[in-house]
Formats: sequence, structure tokens, C-alpha cells
Amino acid sequence: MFILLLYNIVGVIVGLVMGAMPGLTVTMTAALCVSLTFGWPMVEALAFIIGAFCGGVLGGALSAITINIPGTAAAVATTFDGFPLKQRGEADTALGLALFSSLVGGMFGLLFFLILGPIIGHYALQFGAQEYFVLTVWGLTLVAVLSKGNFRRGLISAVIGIFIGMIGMDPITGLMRFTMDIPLLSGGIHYVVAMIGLFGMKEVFVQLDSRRGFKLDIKGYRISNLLPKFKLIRSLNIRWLLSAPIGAIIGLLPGTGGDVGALVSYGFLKNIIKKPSRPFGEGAYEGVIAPEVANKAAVGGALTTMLTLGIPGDSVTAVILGAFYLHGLLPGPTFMLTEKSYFYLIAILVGAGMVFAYFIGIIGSNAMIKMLDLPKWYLIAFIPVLCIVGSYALQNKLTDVLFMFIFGLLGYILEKSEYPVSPIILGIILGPMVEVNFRQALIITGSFPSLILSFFTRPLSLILIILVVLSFLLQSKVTNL
Amino acid sequence: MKRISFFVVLIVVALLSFSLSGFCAGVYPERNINCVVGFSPGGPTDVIARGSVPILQEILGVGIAITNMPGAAGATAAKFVLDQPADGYTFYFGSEIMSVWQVMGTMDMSPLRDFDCVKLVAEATPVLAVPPKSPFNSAEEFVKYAQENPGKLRIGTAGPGTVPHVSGLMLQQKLGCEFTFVPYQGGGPAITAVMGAQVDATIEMVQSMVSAHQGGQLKILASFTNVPIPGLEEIPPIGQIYPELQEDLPYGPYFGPFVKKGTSEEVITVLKEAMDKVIADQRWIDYTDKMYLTRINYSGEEAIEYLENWTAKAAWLLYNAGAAPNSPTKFGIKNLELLKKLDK
Repeated sequence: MFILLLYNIVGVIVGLVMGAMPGLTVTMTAALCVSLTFGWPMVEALAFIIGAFCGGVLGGALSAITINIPGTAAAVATTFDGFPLKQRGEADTALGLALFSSLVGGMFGLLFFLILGPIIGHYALQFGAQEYFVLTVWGLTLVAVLSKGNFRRGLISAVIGIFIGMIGMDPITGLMRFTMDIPLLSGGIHYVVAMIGLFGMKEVFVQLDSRRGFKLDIKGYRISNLLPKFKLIRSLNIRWLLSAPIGAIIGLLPGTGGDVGALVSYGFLKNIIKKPSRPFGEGAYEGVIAPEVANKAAVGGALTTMLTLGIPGDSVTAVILGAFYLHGLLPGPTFMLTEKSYFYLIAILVGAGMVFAYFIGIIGSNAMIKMLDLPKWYLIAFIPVLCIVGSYALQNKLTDVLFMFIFGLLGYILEKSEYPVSPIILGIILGPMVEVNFRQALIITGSFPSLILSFFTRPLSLILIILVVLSFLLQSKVTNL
Repeated sequence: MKRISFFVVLIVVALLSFSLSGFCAGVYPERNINCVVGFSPGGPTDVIARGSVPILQEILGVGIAITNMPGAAGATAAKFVLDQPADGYTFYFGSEIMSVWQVMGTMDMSPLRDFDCVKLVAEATPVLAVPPKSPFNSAEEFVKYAQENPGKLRIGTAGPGTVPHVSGLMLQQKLGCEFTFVPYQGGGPAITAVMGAQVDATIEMVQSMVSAHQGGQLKILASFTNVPIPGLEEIPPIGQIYPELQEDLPYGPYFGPFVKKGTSEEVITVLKEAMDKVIADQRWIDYTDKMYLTRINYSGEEAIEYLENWTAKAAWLLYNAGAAPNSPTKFGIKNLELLKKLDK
């Protein structure tokens, strides 16, 4: 057992470092771990991979807050308020909050996994194309928040993102779209590549252009600042806890993971918290907590689907399932029932991994803050290297590096003309999901009228629509709840 | 100045040593090899590559790194391999989707024209499965309903042009029924869809559905074979239910390493002989047994014939069903059905 925990810790450290690097996604980390642990016994390999899973999801937040570059897609939403907080000189508070909410979210996800998971696991199967469509459209409404006041510009950015998401192979017919017969474009544009360019490379261009540095002006910074400030947390509206079930449930759904979970929960909290500590997008503490709680709770949710149904809850669990296959085990509902030991083992490893990730995360955050104290020119040289390595390593394609630079320039131009950049990412991640699910639902129902009808006759879809309507009513000025 | 000239010398030396390493090429392989997989880690092609490549690495005595390069149904990765020198240091771990790139309009590449097949090592078996509460308990009931209600039954597939899609088209053509195909983003989501009864049936590989079948999460009605799958005798082979299908069965995806066309005969022989040892290795045998994969061993002329037939079958089925935009004749893919009729 001790040796397993050791593998777990090493996994967490590897995950944290990889997660903090833009482009080195958690999925990729898990895949690397799978090939690395091919010759190991399954149990030890699992300890390592799950450690990397827990560490990786946390690592993304560190770079999101300190340098405005989400290390992983799940941390995109963390930049919305995390970086503004850093600019206000509260990087340590933001990191402390992110770490604390990660622990809360992770533990909730674990509880969900142990208690509720087995019961509601199979409800995830009732989630069909219609439900995913409603859910992802709900996610897209986040554009309104990300536009920061200028809705028209936000919408334009989102449309650019949705268009970019359409490049490549048509998911339903297999035909090429918008590729102009250029083989470079036939694989489409991976959203992580766009993300690295739009956040990471753009930030470099912006920094080159401005006098403002990354430098922090925290007076009297000490590592203890990273510990949670309970006074601050108590002062916040308790509704932030809702992020945990949202994250866990979205993680549970087979088609979505922590990235969608974080975005939806950010949008949801924005709707239901009337008086945040600051307006969302300008450094609200709730805006850091929401995505961080949700993306960690999604870990538990995704594992629930994997263990109860034998199908992946997100892309990382897909890799973990692949590891089972590699070790000659056929995962599935019967396997998980007959091999109960794996169920408990994974539960223990997730719990341990989350705790380790918290403590190692403190050390990591400290290092990030110290790094920000370096002269601006050091960092400006270092970030493009990270961006290049990350965008290349993602799919081992040199063309991705080219795309990354193009997106960096695009982001820079847009930001200079005061267009928000994050709706593009939202469009690239959610656009294809919206499209595929709509078209699948159309094929399944057969005709347009019956498709529209099915949105209201399918129970889960109806519940979702009611939730969406409610969340909008809650924030409108007419209903003063 | 001194510094600059130092760097110039350094660069020249580096370049020279690189080019020299090309000149004094010894016996293949003398450095590490790159194995490119066109799909994400954990997918069927990746899993089979990772099951065989570590053994190949031991036999060849050099490191073999597996690089996943997903995108455009594996075509991006294949394009990458074709852009590398034909020296055997980069090979493509291919699968059946290569056969439909041309007709599907993915990219103008063919497993025969652009690649040399080192060896085909495994075949997977697709099966037809329905949701646990489905009214259909046998393939006959399912097909009969489809014949009487054309287009009503919805079959989830791993995507356009994939084996599940082609297998379904085969049933349509041979048994005179009609289905509505719902393409998902890979096999996993298609299985999820059938478990949750989002579709009426899904065709996917047996290894990814057998556990769910035994756990009652879905019902497997038939396998696309003529004889039962070893170890899963309770699943009826569809070739025994419908003898008219027999000539096209077993039908399943193939897997194996491919090198770029133009790779020297010596290199291919080294790889082929090493693969011979891999497929005789007990670890590979155990692995394929556990995964219900059929071990095959085709290389050289045999592989060419196998690939020609496979490609022809899939390409014409897709084209005739209107799922493929390009005519197989455009790429010189022979029409097996037509040839058969001519023979008669």
C-alpha cells in the first residue's frame, strides 16, 4: 500500500507540472503515463495515472491565474477571474482559493463517486443528443458574461470560434469542410492549440507591446498566504457550493468532462449569485471558486461512469479504460462488479491524490509566484517556448505550432480592437458539440417537427430546459428573488 | 566576432555529422524507430499497436516510440508518414479506415498505392447489439422488422465509412432492408448510445461490448462471422442465420504496420521477420485471446490480395449506398460484384 501511495505522489507531481504547462493536457499526460506504465502491474499503473489525473487538473489553474494561460482546457474558465485577481495584486489569494476549492471539489466528487455514483450512474445513459444539445447551448450563453459589456463584439468572437470548430472533417458525413483542399487543415484545428495561441502567445504579444510587466506587487508575501482564508470564504455567498454537483454530474455524462463542467458552473453561479464580491470577470472570488470546484468534482463523476458502466466519462477516463485494455482486462459493468477491489482502490487513490495535489499545489503555486518576480524579459522569452512545445506535443504536428502563432496574432489584434478573446475558445469547444448533437438528434427523430417536440417530451431534456429558463429568470431584474 | 565564428564552426560540425550518419548507414535498424498511430491513445488501433510494438522493440533491439497523431480519420498521421524518408524509421500502424480514405474523400491516399504493408497481424470482429430492453431477441427478428419497416431502425456507428457503417450497409444490400445510420464520434459513444436506448442498435467490435453484454447492459444479437467467436459460442454468427452473407464474412477491421512505398526490400524483410516473431510470442497470443481478436498473418502478395479485396468491398458498398462521394473506379478499385457476374 505504501508503495502505491508513493506512485500516487509521483503521479501527482508529474501531473501538476504537465498540467501547468500550456498544451500538455491531462489527457496527454494520462496517455504518456499509460505507455510508461505498460510493463507495470495494473494496480501500480493505476496509482500513477490517477495521481497524474488529480495533479493535472489542478496544475492548469496555476498558470491560468498567474500568467493568464490556462494549462489545460478545464482551466479556461479559471482565467476569467483568476487573472484579473492577479492584476489586482491578489495572486496569492486567488491561488489559495483555487487550491482550497479544488480540494473541496475533489472530495465532493469522491463522495459522489462512492455514494451516489452507483445509483445514478445509469441515468447518464438517458442523456441523448437532445440533452447534450441543450446543455452545450446553455454553455454557449456564457458569451454574454465573457463579452464584458459589449455583447455584439462578444458574439462576433463566438461566431469566429464556432466557424473555426467547423474546419476539417464533417462529423456526420465524413466530408471535408472549409479545408480548401489544403491537407494541413484536414485534421481540423484542435481547441487546445487555439487556446494556447489565444491566451499564451497573445499574452506575449501584449506584453511586448506594453510597459506593464508580469511582476507582482504583493507586499510581504509569505507562503502561508496560500492557505485558505476562511474569513474570506465565509463572507461569500454559500451558493458557490452548487458548483460541486454541477461539476460531478457533467463529469458523469459520457460526452463531457471538466472543461464543460467548469464553463457551465461558472455561467450558472454568475446567474444565481446576485451580489458577488466583485462583478464577475473583474476578479470575483466566486469566479475562481466555481470552475475549480467543478472541474475537480468532474474527476469523481467521470470515474463513476467508467467504473459503473465501463464507458469513459471524459477523455482522461477514456485513456484509463485504454490502459485496462492494454493490460488485457476488458472493462465494463461486469468487470467492475466482479473486481470490486478496483473500485475501492480507485476511490482510495483519488482521495489520496486530491490531498497530495493540494499540498504539492501549495509548493507549485509558491514557485509560480516566485517566478513572476523574475524580470519581464525572462518570462517573455520563456512563455513562447512553452507555447511551442505545448502546441507541438499535443498531437505531434508541426502545423499546430503554426496555427498557434496565427491564433496568437489573431488574439492580439482582437484584444487591441477591444474584442474579447475567450468567446472564441468557448465557440471552438462547444460549437462542434452543439452541431453534432443537433444533427444526431435530427437523424434519430427523423424530421424537424418531431425533433423540436422531442426536446419537450424527453424528461431529462425538459428538466434541463426548465433549469435554463429558471437560471435566466433568477438573474433578470423583473423577478427580484 | 570570435564568438560568431565559433558558432559557425559548431553548426558546420553538427550538420556534417548529421549528413555523415546518412552516408555510413549500417544494418537496419541502428537507431530508434517511430511508430505513428492515427488515433487517440486508448482507441482500438492504439491498443493493438501498444500490444505488439513493445515485443517488436525487444526483438529489434532498438527503441520504438508510439506517436499518436489523431485527426481526419487517421489520414493526417498517414500523410505525416508519407512526408518522412522511406527508410523504415517511421512506420504507420494502420487499420481498415485506410481503405476508404479515397472514396470518402478524406485524402487521396491508399494502403496499396502509397504504402507497403509489412504484415497484417489482427482482425477484430464486429457484432450487432441492441439495448437491454429491446423487443428484439435475435438477429432474425431485427432484420425482419427492418425489412418490413424500411428506415425505421436506427443503427449507431463509430462514424461515416467505419466498419460498423459498412457492415450495416452490407446487411442492407444483401438482405434487402433499410436502416437509418447515426454516426457517433467513435465506437465508445456509439456503445453508450445503445446502452441508453438512444438508438435501436449499434454495431461495434466485440471486445468493447462483451463485458456490457454479460452484465446485461446490452444484448449482442449476432457476430459478423461464419463461425462462432472462440470463447463466446453463445453469440450466433450471422453467416449461419443468413447463408447469403457467407461469402462476405468474416468481415472486420484489419490492423498491422505499414511503411512508405519505396522503402528498401531489406528493411521490409527485417521488419517482417521481426513481426513473425512477434505474432508467435506467447504474450501476443494471450493478449489477442483476451481481446477476442483474430490473429492473422498476411504479408507480401497475400497482404496485397487481402487489401485489394477488402478495399473493393468497402468502397463499393459505401459508394452504392450514397455514403461515399467519390466513385471507386476513379481510383482503379475493382468492382467485385461486377467481376463475379462476368464470371458467371
